[in-house]
Amino acid sequence: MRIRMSGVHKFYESEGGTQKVLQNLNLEVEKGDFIAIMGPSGCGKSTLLFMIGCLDLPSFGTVLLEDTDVAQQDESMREKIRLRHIGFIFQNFYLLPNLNVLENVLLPMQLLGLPKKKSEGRALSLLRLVGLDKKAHEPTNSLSGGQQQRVAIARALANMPGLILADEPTGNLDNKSGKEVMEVIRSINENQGLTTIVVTHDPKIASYARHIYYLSDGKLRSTVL
Amino acid sequence: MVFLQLAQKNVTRKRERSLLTLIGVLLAVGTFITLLSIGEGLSNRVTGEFSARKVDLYVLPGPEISMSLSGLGTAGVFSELMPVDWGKQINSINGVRICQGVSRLNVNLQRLSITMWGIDSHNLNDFFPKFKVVQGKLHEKGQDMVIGDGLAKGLGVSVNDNVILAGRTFKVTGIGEARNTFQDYSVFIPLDSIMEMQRSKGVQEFWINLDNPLRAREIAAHIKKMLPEITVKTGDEYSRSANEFVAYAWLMQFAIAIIGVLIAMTASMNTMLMSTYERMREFGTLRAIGAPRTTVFMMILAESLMLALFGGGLGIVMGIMGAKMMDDAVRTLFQLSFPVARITPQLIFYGIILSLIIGVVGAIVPGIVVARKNIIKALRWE
Repeated sequence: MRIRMSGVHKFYESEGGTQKVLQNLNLEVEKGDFIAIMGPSGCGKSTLLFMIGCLDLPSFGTVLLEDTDVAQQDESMREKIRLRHIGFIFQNFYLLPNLNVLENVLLPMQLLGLPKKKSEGRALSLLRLVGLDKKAHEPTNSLSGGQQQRVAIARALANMPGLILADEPTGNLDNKSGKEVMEVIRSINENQGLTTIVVTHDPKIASYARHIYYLSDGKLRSTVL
Repeated sequence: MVFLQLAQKNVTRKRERSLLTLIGVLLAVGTFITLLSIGEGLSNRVTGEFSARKVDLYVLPGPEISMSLSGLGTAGVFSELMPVDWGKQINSINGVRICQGVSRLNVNLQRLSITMWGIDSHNLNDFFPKFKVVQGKLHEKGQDMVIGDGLAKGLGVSVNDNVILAGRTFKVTGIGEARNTFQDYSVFIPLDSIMEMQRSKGVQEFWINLDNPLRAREIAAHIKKMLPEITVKTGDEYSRSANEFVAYAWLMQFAIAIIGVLIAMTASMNTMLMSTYERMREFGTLRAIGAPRTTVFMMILAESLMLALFGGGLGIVMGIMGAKMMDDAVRTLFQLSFPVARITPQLIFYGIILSLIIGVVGAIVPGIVVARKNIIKALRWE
């Protein structure tokens, strides 16, 4: 999926006045690219990611996913875009606690209304991809943090998205688990050609990407190859 | 139907939360059924009494008489009396087919309160056309007594047995057919006997049947003109007055039941709402991965309805048991001879409807909270 952001501003109204989070931000990500967005805490990295992921809207400017300006879509259309085209990986995994490993991975396919048998086959193959097919029927709270994040990766791939958005995917993991998770993400990007955007403050994590952007004072200031 | 699968898993896998909500619904429905079963029982008794009677006109003492229900659920006049010979004057009016003096007396027997009806046997079937004696015969003379089927069974008496009531010995000449709580728990004796027991020469009411019931208002006016100090009511007016009293009693119980229901409903809603806040990240996650608002709302509604219907089912069972306990307690306390609480299909239907209402109301507030919550705020919910 190709992404183009131009002239994007994001303001928040607070008691202290208007807080400018993003200012005249421009970004282009080609289909199949793998980029990392770095920056200090609170600089707006996640806000940027959520705007690309149709979870938030710019105050001004355009965010194009392929040729669709997400800011011009209503909430039900943005729901459809999220469901059909985007896979999310969050820092806190956000697996549903009442569902087991397999059911968590099945969820996006159930929401898409895919046939049960086909969905189960795909869910199991995704769990095999992240090395957790033997834990398919276990509750998610019996898994380690690294394993839970790998389940979240499998879930993010379940709807066959064109775009993977990862918000501090290793933030709650130890170094070893973090490295394993990033290897999985890189392998998916390389083998499946999915556009991948990772937000992180950790240079080691960012180094897995092909392009790294720094965000500070609301602007993407420099690009490092 | 992904929302149904999610709801079912959420309900069965989060047992503590489900149990808490379930208890709230159970208490609401159980209390509702138990309390209203008394109203149903009372209503049934009065309805039974009036459906058993066929009286065109009632003559009551006093210019403005207010109807009341006795502690035994029997409607009519108890305290004031009219001279017996007024009956002869009324009988002489053209169009009056039959006029019978009637008095009632509440007495205790074997620690049970019983309503005795003083009404002559030759007129009994005129005013109680459905009343049938299935064993023995009607009460003909002074010490004869016909007893209802339920009361006969409760007291363990049969035809030809002697029963002492208010210091007088009566012989059971007949047992009535089992029909309703009024008929099954009544005693009929001759009018003279009850007047002797009351040490009076008056009667509480005159019951009149006409040659042509359509002339009821005209003849009522005639009687009123002849005896200005009395009240004349048509059968409909009389039963309406008694039914109003039952309606008030029903309303009182309904109000008490509703208070209990509201408390339990609020507790149930509170549990649902608290659990919604606890699960805010879960809802945020669902929305983030593309679940529509409607799916999330339907999931919450389905969870609430599952718990409400299951809790309601258990509440109905509890209500039935509660009604039995309440019946035993009220009958013991007031020494009643007949069942007070009554569970009807209508009451169970109300219980199901109440469960559905609790389910829907319990889901609306959490559903709105979740639907209006910003997804990012929901994901970051602490």
